[in-house]
Amino acid sequence: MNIRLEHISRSFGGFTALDDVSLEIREGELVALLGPSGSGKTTLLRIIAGLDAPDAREGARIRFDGAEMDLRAGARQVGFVFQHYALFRTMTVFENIAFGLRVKPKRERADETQIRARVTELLSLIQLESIAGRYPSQLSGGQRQRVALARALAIEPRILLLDEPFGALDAKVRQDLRRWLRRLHDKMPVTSVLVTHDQEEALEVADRIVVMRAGKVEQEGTPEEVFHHPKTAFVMDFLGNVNLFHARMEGGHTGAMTQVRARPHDLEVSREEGSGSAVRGKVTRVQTAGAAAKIEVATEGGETIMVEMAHDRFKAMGIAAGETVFVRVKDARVFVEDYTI
Amino acid sequence: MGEAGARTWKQYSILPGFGLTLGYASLYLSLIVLLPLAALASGVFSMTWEEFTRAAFSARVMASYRVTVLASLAAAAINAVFGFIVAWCLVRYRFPGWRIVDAIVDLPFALPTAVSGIVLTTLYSPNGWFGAPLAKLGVKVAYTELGIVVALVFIGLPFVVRTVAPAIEDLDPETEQAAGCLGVNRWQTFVRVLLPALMPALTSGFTMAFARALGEYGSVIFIAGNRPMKTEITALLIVTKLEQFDYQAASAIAAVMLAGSFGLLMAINYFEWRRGSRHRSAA
Amino acid sequence: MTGRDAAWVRYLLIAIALGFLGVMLVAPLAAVFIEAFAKGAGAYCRNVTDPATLSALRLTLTAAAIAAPLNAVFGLAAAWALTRFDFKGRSLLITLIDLPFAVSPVIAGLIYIALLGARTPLGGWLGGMGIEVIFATPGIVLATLFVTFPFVARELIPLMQEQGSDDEQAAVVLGAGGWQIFRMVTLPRIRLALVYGLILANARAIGEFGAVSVVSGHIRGLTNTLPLHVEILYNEYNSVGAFAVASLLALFALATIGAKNVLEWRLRRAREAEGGQ
Repeated sequence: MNIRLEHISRSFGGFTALDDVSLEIREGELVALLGPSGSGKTTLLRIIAGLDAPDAREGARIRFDGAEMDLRAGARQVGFVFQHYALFRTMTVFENIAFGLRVKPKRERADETQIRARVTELLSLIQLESIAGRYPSQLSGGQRQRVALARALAIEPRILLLDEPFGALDAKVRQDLRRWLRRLHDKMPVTSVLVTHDQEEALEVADRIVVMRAGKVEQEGTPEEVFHHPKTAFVMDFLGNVNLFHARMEGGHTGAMTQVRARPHDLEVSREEGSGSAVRGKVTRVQTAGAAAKIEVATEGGETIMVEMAHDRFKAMGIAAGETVFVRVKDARVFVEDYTI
Repeated sequence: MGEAGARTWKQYSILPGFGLTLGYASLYLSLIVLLPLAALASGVFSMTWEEFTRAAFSARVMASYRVTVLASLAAAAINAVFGFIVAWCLVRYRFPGWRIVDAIVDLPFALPTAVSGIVLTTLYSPNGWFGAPLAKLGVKVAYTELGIVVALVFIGLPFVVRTVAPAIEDLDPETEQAAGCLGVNRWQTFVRVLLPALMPALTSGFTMAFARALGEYGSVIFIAGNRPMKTEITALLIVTKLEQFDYQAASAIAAVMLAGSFGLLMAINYFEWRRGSRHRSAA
Repeated sequence: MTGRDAAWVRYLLIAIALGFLGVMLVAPLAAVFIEAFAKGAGAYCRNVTDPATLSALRLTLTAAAIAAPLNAVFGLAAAWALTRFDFKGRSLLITLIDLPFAVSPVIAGLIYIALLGARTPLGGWLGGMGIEVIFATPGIVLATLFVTFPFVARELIPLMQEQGSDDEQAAVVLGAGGWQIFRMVTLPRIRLALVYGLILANARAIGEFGAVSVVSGHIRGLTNTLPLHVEILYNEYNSVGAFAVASLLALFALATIGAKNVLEWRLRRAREAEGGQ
């Protein structure tokens, strides 16, 4: 289903959680709303679900497949996975999943055999057939998460909304569930929106990322776009590690100091100064445990630079702590309007 | 205006039933509590100031205020001391039967006041279990001010125990250990560290026991003897006026008592609020 | 747990506590039963099965039975409105719910005489239609409602506040209606606390003396509740009779304490189970 949000604002007392946000989510997409806490991403998700209502401003509209929704209606046939799952503690796993089917009005309600079949099907989807009779308090975090997902999917939602779905889980479980969710989405492409503050999670799972800051959309695009072509300094900083250089601009504003940003893997280390501008510094720390080798260089200007390089290249060079090296920037960015945190 | 006005009065919520539940709760509260109280108030306000003072501040009524307040204070003070000890033992020590002791503390809440009234009178009357030996020592309890205090200690005890015990449970053991490590002896630790930390709860419990004692009727009237100017409590005086069909006087005295009780209710809320905010800032 | 205090301090304090509780609570409780059986089991049975006792028992149970559902409905409505919504005047309403606890039972009776007594406009009007409230059963029920008013709400409000409304929101999104949410999601989680509040309210309803005394008119066999009947027997110097009836009330009090403790234990367990989630 296609969702359009137009001019959505929401304030709580004096605090503006959302400031005139417009957004489109396309059929079958998995979109991640990414941002720090307080950026308004959860409020936006709750507004899509109908759990919260936007301020009644001129032009504020929510459209599901073009049809305008009542801004204050709860039941929109959406699936919502709460941050802490909100499983019904007094019901078994089976009853939890069946809940949405059982509360339907009489004429729409499936009969008991159909409900059983549907719940069993969902249980096998989440690979938890064996624990249908347990209560939520008897489940692990990852199991609860999957039950919450199955409960949301039971009502055949037009859109699936997930609020920090992996937030309360251990790192390892989180990774497994992330991949599992991605595969599930490929198999059953329900339009989905998930809220997260973890950029790695967003980059790995989502088809498209909406980066939010202070109640506004900062940038939206595919993971590749937002990672490699950030439109603002905030997006660049939020999506990964960044080295900050203070440099003097040449040309335009002569003499003005400006900040240059470069990702650790966009830097190159060599022993020779070579041609072009390179920064001289001393290797203070080398860390090789991880996907790439990380080298920390202290410049003569007193700044610390993080460089990442592939292990084979690192081995070929044989760099060790204490050496003097030259760091060259392969790719960097300058943003005109800087932000303050 | 509509939308925005409604919004400032009530935060948006998706859950149903606000109007129905708030409406019903407010209506029921108004009918059962507020309307009758207002009826009493309107009766009092229709009196002239002179009528009011004659009814509410005559010598006999003043004497009843005096004995009620003094006996309630004495009882609350006794409860503060012994209730504290009971709470301390229940939280800190495990002795055989502590569970039963813990349960029995609620007896005054559960036992009808008329029952406690007649049984205390029987126990403390000159030929009762406690009254006889005390009479030999020349101490009269039943039908004296002392009897009133005994009855009020009985009904006020759980208030202190049930307020102080959770506070003792919440004490930070590290503070206590730190004081111990600093070489401060146990008694000094108690006076300087523990007692100040427990003071808000103790004050709260004392005030609740005191407030309950001020209005108490059933457990007191049997043991008090009810001699005017001496052992006649205010609650009984209201009933006496009612039995004489002197509704005005009864209402006037009740109004004075209500004013006192509401003042105390505010004080209790204030103490509770302060305890709450202390907890919050500690968290 | 037992610990840091020296042994002699521990024993001294326990001795003081047990001595105090023994004199103040256990002795009176024992005395009720000893006095009740002072003239043997036969006299006890005669007093307990006396028609006046039985009619007082009937009235007491009637008042309690009317008060319980009304308290439950009020407590549920107030707790729902106060814990699931944020609105102006919320804290005022919470304070007002506690108001009856601050009012002397005697005054609780008096205010109904002030509102519905024969000389008041409302009472006169009802009297004209042949409805008697004061010095009749309805007055006793009203006084009972007043003194038991806060019990259920006081148990439910903190609990529902702590639980939060995530579960109910989840139910709304899944398409449940208001009644379904209450019955399937909310009620199962607050059942124990509701029963707990009702037990406390019920104990007060059955034992209430001052408020009921003022509005009852003490008509034997008609407007006497059990506690009022105790008073009458006692004032007639029928000590064994008074204590026999009192022993019924004491037994009920013990049952209340027992039920209260069982529920407290189960509530604690339920909370621990929830804490694990």
